[in-house]
Amino acid sequence: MQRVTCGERPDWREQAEKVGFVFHTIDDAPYWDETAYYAFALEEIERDLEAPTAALDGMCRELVARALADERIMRRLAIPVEYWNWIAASWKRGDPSLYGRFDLRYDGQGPAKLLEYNADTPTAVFETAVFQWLWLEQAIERGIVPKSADQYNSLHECLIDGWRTIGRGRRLHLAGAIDNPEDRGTLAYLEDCARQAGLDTRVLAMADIGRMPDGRFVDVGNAPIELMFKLYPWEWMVREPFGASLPGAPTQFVEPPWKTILANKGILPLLWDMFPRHPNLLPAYFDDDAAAATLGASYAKKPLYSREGANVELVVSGATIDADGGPYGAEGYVRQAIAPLPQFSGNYTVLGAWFAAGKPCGLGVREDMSPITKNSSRFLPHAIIG
Amino acid sequence: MKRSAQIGLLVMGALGTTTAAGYMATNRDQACQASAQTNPLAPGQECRRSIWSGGGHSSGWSRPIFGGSSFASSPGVTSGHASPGSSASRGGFGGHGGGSAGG
Repeated sequence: MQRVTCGERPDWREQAEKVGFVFHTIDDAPYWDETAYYAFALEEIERDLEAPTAALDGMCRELVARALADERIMRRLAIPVEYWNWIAASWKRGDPSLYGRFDLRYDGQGPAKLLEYNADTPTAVFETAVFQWLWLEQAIERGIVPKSADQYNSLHECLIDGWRTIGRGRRLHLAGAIDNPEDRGTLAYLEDCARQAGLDTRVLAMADIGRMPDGRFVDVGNAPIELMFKLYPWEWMVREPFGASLPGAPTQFVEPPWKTILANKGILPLLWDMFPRHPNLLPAYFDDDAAAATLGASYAKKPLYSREGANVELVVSGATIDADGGPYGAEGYVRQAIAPLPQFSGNYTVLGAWFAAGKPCGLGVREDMSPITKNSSRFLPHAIIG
Repeated sequence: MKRSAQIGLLVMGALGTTTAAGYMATNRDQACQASAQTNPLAPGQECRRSIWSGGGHSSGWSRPIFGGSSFASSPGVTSGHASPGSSASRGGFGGHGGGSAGG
């Protein structure tokens, strides 16, 4: 694994906007960054990233089954009791998942370590699946990378396959925070994949979802919502006014309700308890667990519910070396053994390993000047060289 | 995992026709285009989905202007109240406004 400085394509911004990637720059700072790329050996991809991603998905599924059989775990995860049966029913039915992203600490030496799992509302999907592939094609043409270069990336095909399996030709509603450019772009891309899978699609704002007196959810034209993709976290939905109608509604959701269990940092200590010393896991404990003291004075403190690094605190030798603010933490925290992100040319680097349609299928690389990865962290392309 | 030429053909072939980038780039609303053959559009209108049309890109995309678009227009109702002319209430989701809901 290497960071290779390279020249930008002079026209990449125009190309990005032409294909709808309008959030390539956020708050006047680059989000897409092709002044360098990450080069991996094929063995690093297959042995250290692809296989562990499949293993992590398997462990997470074992955890879901265990949680649904043990109400102590459901309470530990702060999942409201009125949703337990609904979540369990979704698991028992086998409601399918479309995708998820495992964030990994990896530097090319030793096993990748799970930092967290974005199981419910992962983003950075378009830039991973499409725009970095376009970069690879053109980087080969322009001699930026060798002609034999490749990329760990079948995410686009997996998403279409996933929609084909999930949708079975039905109408799909996609809902989210459509006033946010990134979320709207993500919805547009996933809608596009669904259309290629033969689904009839409609996109709407979360606030525009209607509820009929009998509890059914409908769109702005009062058409029933039978199948809905939501780019909106379960932990928010279950606590909002319509949340109480979720268990009785006939809508099939993507991601499914059982992902409520996995979209929770509490899975980190639970996985460590179920699979102690697994090479792809870091020691982790609930913050109020006496065993957390075994981590000593250096750890990462993470809220059960958090996204984009919010309310994460890195503590080294008892001193906070980095912390990001935010609205999370009311439900409690976990402590995870500190595993500093590797630095390449002064940048902290984290890998996002994608799992879609039942298999590992792609990689995104993010960089930041800070050791906590945030929404503004830059996305860099990668290539398999040799 | 599939790689190399097969991926390239799949992705790039699709990009040239109907997929993500190709679809986003052209992004014409097919229902609108079909309708326009019998019901001409008003001056200034076109069958391009408004999210990709000018103006809104850097400051948040504009609301859709065509009923046929999959980006449904808001009925403009407020939290928990019934929509005019229907028995559906709206606004019961989406309370975490502002930033991205993704992660």
